[in-house]
Amino acid sequence: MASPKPVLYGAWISSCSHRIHIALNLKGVDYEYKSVDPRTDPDYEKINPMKYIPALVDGDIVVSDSLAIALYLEDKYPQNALLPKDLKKKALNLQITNIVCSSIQPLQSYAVIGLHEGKLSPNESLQIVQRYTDKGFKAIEKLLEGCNSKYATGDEVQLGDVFLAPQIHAGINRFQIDITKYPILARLHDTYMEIPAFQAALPKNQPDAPSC
Amino acid sequence: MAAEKLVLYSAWISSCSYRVRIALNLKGIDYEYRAVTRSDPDYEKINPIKYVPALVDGDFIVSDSLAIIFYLEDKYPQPPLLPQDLKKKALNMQIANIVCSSIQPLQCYAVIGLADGKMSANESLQIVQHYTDKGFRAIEKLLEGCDSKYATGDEVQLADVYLAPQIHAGITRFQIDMSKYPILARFYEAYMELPAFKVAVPENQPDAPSS
Repeated sequence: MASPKPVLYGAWISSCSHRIHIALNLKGVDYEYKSVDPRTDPDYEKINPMKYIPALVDGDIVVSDSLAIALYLEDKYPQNALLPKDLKKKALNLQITNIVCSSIQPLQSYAVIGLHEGKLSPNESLQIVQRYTDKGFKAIEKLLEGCNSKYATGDEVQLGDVFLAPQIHAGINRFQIDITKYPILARLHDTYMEIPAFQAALPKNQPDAPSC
Repeated sequence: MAAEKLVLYSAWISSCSYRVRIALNLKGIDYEYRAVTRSDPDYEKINPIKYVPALVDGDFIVSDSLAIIFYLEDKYPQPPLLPQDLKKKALNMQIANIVCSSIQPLQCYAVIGLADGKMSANESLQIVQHYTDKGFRAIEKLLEGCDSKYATGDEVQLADVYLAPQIHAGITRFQIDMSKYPILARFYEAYMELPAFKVAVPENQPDAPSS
């Protein structure tokens, strides 16, 4: 009996889910996508007690948090490796990844939820997102100063790229980030948008994206 | 010529630095401690995002506690902090990430907000407690029925390295009532018996206040 496909729980607009769509696509893993709204779906807490997306169910393994999922996929589906063997390049990928997933996105999420719950005004919310995005993007520009490779850490797509693309996309499309202030990231973003694995992962291309 | 010692840029109170101190101690790695303050103008050259910790190994610099710990895990594989088993490894990563993406960044936001006068002491504390409670409750559920000595087995693993500083900060700085999280409370007592963890506590660092 063929093993079941892994199931990705996510939402079209979630940049954390976006990361995993990219990773699955890059590794050529066929998966089932289930759109979920953790705020209104009472069963989702059994999948992820944090009630955040994404979550991945792969056989008897249930794992949440995009970095935990990405590293699980890296072990289980080693083709098109996302982490280099070289320790320095690997560390740089993890550093970029963590700037995104610990220093930018959690504050973006805090600001979006704060606006939604009426605790922050639209202006306050946007200022928080922009401040932390700017801080993180400026730091990554410095880390990648002089970078002339095709992607962030080399001529192959790596984990840093998987985490950067959704953050840049959200910044441009939702939070009025002027990407020209970050020329290396702007160049990388243009390059990502030429890759089918990245295009297929875009929020607007997900089954649950609004049709207009 | 003997290899240079690793240099850790750290602040005594930083829970992110505390994670790396534990990892270095567990792996028996000798290192030089360099205290960093928020007003240090040169530190940006070490880490452009100006957060601690950062690790310098010869001519190589790496920042962010997870990137540092993975680097240590590869360069100094004993004892390993990540299990080979994919399920246990994923659980360790998930717990570590609840701490470093879902609790600590909001704690940091609240602490800085208070320090910069952008929010009241009460608002700041409420943010920290809200996100700590959410994260700790989720970890309690993930570890429901756990009867091992530490979070994911009878050896200290990555999850423990991340949990100890977060629990310590909660108890000592943010009035978190650990009796609400009995599994975590039990682990914390177990961690506090281990020299690698005790030596790493904020109060034992060279830059900790003396009173």
